[in-house]
Amino acid sequence: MSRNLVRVLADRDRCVGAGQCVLSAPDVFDQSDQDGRVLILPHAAAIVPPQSEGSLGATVPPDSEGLLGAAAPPRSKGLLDATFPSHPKGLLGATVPPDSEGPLVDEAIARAAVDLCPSRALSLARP
Amino acid sequence: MPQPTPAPAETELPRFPLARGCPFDPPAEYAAMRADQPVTRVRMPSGQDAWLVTRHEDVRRLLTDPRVSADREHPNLPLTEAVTPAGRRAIAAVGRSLIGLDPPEHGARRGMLITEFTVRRINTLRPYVQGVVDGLVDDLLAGPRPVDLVAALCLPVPSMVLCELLGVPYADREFFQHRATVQVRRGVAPEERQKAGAELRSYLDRLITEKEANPSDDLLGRLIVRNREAATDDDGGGASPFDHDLLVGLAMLLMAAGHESTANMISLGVAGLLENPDQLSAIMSDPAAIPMAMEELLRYFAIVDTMPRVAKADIEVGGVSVPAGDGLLIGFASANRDESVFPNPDTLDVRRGARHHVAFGYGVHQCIGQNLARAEMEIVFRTLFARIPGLKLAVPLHELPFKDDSSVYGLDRLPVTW
Repeated sequence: MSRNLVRVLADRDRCVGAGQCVLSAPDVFDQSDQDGRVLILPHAAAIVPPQSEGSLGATVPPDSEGLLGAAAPPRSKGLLDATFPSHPKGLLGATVPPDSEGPLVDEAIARAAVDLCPSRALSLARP
Repeated sequence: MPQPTPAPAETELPRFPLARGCPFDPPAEYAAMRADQPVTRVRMPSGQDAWLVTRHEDVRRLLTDPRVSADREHPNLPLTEAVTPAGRRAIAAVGRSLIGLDPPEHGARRGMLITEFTVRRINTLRPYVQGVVDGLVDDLLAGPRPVDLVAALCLPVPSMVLCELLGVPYADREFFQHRATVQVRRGVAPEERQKAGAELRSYLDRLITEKEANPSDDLLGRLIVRNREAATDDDGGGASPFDHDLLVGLAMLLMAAGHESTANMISLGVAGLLENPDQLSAIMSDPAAIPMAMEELLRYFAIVDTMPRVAKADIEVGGVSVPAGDGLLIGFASANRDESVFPNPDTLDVRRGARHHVAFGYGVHQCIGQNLARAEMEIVFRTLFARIPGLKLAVPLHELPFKDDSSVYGLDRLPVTW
């Protein structure tokens, strides 16, 4: 079974900076040094490693597959890079508007983060 | 569509708070409520009636429902303890700084603070926390046995960390800590506690006045600077989110939220792990498991049993219609034992791997200091049990003084030896 990939969208206006997403998926999420609100790391999809069980909420079924690898559908790297230029973490905040198209992320990891977010600032979209 | 639920006759209303059976567990009635009547009308010690919400799903739903208000000044806001009019005014004053606000006012105020509590910012405090814990454990090892761990470790750790966070000068820390501790020690006479609280408040008032004249590089100093920037910012409409009184209220709120609560989690967590040696050895044999073990301690003990709210409109929840204006008691402890979300919920299982407990609440008011609390807990548990592996309770569990009558659960004293 291939691993499903989804996009995570962040509404930074709703974010209250609790940091739950950063704790549950530090490879995907960060918090801006400028305003404390959520940042989605630009190359999250490419760097999502297999998460150890236990770092996710129990509502998330265990992964059936270890590595993202070939399961990732082809996507336009150029487009993604254009949307999310490689910035130092702290600078990204200013460049990502709310509800911008986020990178592709493993669905289980994304669902756990969406579920944990207390302000409902995160949502999923099919790629 | 459920019909409006008629209030049961007065004599039938369960009296809140319900009694606990096992000291580690919430009241046993919560399980029956979750199964049969997940939103139940209860009578408060204040004489108020309120709707107790016991299921995890309903708790989360209401805490993200814009029709639910956190207004600490609403007359129907359920009070879990009978309070004097002066106490009521103090609750309102603290509420106005942050926790009693609703959106959009709340978001603007919280937005001024969240850079102080990001995961990265809190990680920069870890070396300080480690130093504090190391020093206190040195003192423990050099001191007499048995010793009360609440006085020797559980309360001093968060109060010293609060000093660092707020920017209390070193010269004042003993003064500050002494009063912070007296204020929350329940063995102490109420007048003495009130006096300590008043001294703390006037100290913070002076401290903030000094920082307004000369902003320092700490939470309060930076907040004063951001406040001025917001006031002069054209986009901010010239509003100053925190005036002097609100800053004092906020400092008192951070004291109230970050001191005794953390101490309670440490004391209960130590007792819980000492009573479950298999769980203790599971985390001692794998230090990488400590962060998730802390999540389980938070879920299991859920020291904030309920959080008060008020319905601003008619709300259908858990099969009942809550009319606009009624008080709500959001059941954190019950939600954390909801068997539909946490299998075998009454078992302390440090390998559970569940983050979706509501020990820190949910919704826009979810604890802003939660990552600081996590850091303090991780460092205390890792250090204490590594350095004193023979730690044990000095009295049987049932003789420990649990805070049965407090709105924040914990231990008054924890006599330990080794």
